[in-house]
Amino acid sequence: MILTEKLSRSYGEKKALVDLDLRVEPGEIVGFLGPNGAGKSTTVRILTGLIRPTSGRAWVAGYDVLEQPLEVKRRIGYVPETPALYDALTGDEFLELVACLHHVDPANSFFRRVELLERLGLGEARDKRMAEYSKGMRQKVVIAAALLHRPEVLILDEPFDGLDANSAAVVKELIKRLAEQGCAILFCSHILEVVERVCSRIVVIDRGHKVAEGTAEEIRLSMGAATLEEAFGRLTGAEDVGVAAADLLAALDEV
Amino acid sequence: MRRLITALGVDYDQWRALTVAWLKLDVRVGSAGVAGMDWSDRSKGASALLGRAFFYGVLGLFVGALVFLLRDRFAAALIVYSYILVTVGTAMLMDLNGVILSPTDYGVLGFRPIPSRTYFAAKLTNVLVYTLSLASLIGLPSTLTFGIRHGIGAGLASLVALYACAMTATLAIVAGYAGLARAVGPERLRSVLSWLQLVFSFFVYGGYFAVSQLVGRSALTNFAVPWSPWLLLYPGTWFAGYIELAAGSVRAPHLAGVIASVVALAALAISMRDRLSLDYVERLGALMSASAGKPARRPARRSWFFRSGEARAVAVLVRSQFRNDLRFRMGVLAILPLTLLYLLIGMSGGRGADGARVPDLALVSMAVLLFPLMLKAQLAHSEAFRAAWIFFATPADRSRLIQSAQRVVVAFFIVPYLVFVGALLAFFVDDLVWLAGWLVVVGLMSNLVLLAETLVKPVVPFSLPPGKMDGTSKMIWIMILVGVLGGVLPFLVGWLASNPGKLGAAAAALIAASVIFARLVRLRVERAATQLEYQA
Repeated sequence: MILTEKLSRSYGEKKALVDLDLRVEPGEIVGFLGPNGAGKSTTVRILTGLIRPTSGRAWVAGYDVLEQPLEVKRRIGYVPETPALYDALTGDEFLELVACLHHVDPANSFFRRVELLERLGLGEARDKRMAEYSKGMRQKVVIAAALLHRPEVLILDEPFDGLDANSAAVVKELIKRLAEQGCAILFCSHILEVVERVCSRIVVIDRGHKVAEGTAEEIRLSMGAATLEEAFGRLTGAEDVGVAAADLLAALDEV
Repeated sequence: MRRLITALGVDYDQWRALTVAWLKLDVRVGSAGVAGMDWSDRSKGASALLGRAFFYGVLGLFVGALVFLLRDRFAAALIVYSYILVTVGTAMLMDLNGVILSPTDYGVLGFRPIPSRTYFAAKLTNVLVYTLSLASLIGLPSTLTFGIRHGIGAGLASLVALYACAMTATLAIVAGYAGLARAVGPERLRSVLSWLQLVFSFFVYGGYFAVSQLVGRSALTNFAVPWSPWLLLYPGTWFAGYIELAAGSVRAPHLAGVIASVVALAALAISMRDRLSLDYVERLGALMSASAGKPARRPARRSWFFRSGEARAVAVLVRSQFRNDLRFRMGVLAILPLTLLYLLIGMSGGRGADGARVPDLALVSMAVLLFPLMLKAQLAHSEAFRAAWIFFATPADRSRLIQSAQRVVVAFFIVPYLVFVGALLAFFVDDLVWLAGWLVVVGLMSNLVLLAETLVKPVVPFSLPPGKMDGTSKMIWIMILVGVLGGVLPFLVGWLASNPGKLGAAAAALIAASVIFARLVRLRVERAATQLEYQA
């Protein structure tokens, strides 16, 4: 599970995250929403041990991210928003590297790699360097790398980015089944329909603060909105889309 | 092996996996597929590495021949270990600092369960593979020569000294970087690292210059080092002491040097194992997040000579890369001391007809030629090379981009540098008109050298991935080239000094040559630019 208590992070004067309380139980898929710069990536980077919080605490799979970061990292699978890869390695070589770093038994590692790449449609490309991969293929490698060691907790930041409709459907189904098997999943995305369909609960943050929590229905009703998109817009102070588009066009005309 | 690595507190499986993967990447970077957009023959990474190995091997044979010619054993050893120190030092300062300091890998691996010490050990192994290979190529011929000329004991001692020397230089610089990352907060790390880079560079090249000056003042075969306790401050003498001891010359200074080297190496190894490696990963993470929170700086002022178009784009890019790209910044800061040393020695190096100290204009000219050339070589490579897609997706004229890089170096570096040098020289030279003419001639020569470099390798700025040891071999090539120029320049400067008319004639010839070269560069670049493809 994932648990945070008053988690905060500042970058100099700027407060990226303020007193965030978050809970994701085993078997639960929690959608983590927010506009650009709301603090989602900062939260995820703290939970994955990439950066330290300024204050507050966080636990993943029962381990403190500050005090036992290695135990946390052993138990998470992470799909970053902008995945960095070693482009000169082949997809299979990259997965082999990840398997070694997670101490996956070499025999198991080989079969898992083959199986994962096959299932994700990368069987023929497994021995090609990732520099030759399309965006979707790279995303599939990152997803495979996140699953390879059978993590207890999955943190997915825009996991469908670049995937074609068929692949996205497979991954969606996969996420649901992993949750059924007891995996705690934090799901960050800007595509509200997907979040609504996949997640059992949603947390919305804006400018570092949590502004709503509940099921999609609860959030929609609490804001008196017809859709989740409308509720999200009100929660995050978005201006009317028509006005915003008109302003943009006017700005272009002025130049 | 597993036992040894595990005994050091390192996870053997992870260390091995990382070491193998990084070496694989090093071999492949520069090969097809991730080569940016250099249209020159894209040799496979392995053959490029072999080419560099051949270059260093030839350099090693040259050093070995020098050892054979020198009568004084200690002096010969001092030259060998000075070469090793300067080559390993250059490799660390120009190419390998990123291995230790760059948080790029951290973005890929930071969330994996890798203990800090294992991560650090794998990084250190990667660096040592390069520095020890370099030391082997440059030093092994000399080791063989020592064995043949001074006995098998001296040969074996030189072998031990060779690797001890390379290890000490590597570990000292790594300890400096890692220690600083530990001691200084991430917000200040970049600026403090810049100062450390300058200090390291002065140290590495200062030793090289001191030895070159000693050698230069004596007939080569009779070159001998007069003993002074101050010599013990220079690590090259520590390792030269190994050979003296093995050859039976057991004298207190040699013994002291050997003891100093052993103590230094042990201290460095212990500090790596204990202090420096423990929170290394945390420091990298902090460095990564520090750059995320960095406040925006004042935008670059619009200079009057690069106001728009491709030239403006390149000028903005060079400025911002220097501020933000740690690798580029460290590369530039590594070459600055070398050129300043030339300038310093040049300013105090010559004697006038009356015996008074006057500037050695040949050395000063070399400083002016050296800096822009090395800087231009730095402009091609960047860790952000993938961002060069922008030059292909926009209607930018790529041939103008390439030529702009050369012009930016002239405007931002050669001209201010010449003004600085001119201001210094004005204290020594009475005839200011002649001085102005001389500065114009040197500036034109520098411009011509840059044009020649662009003609040989026309590259879109910051469009190539940084290859391991690429900067080092360039630096050594340039140092060799400048060494050759050093033989010619005194005659040229002497000829120019004799008559203002000759100065005018030289300037006219250089302007004509520049015009012809600029035309050739344009033809070459325009033809090549049409074949360019974005491949990152």
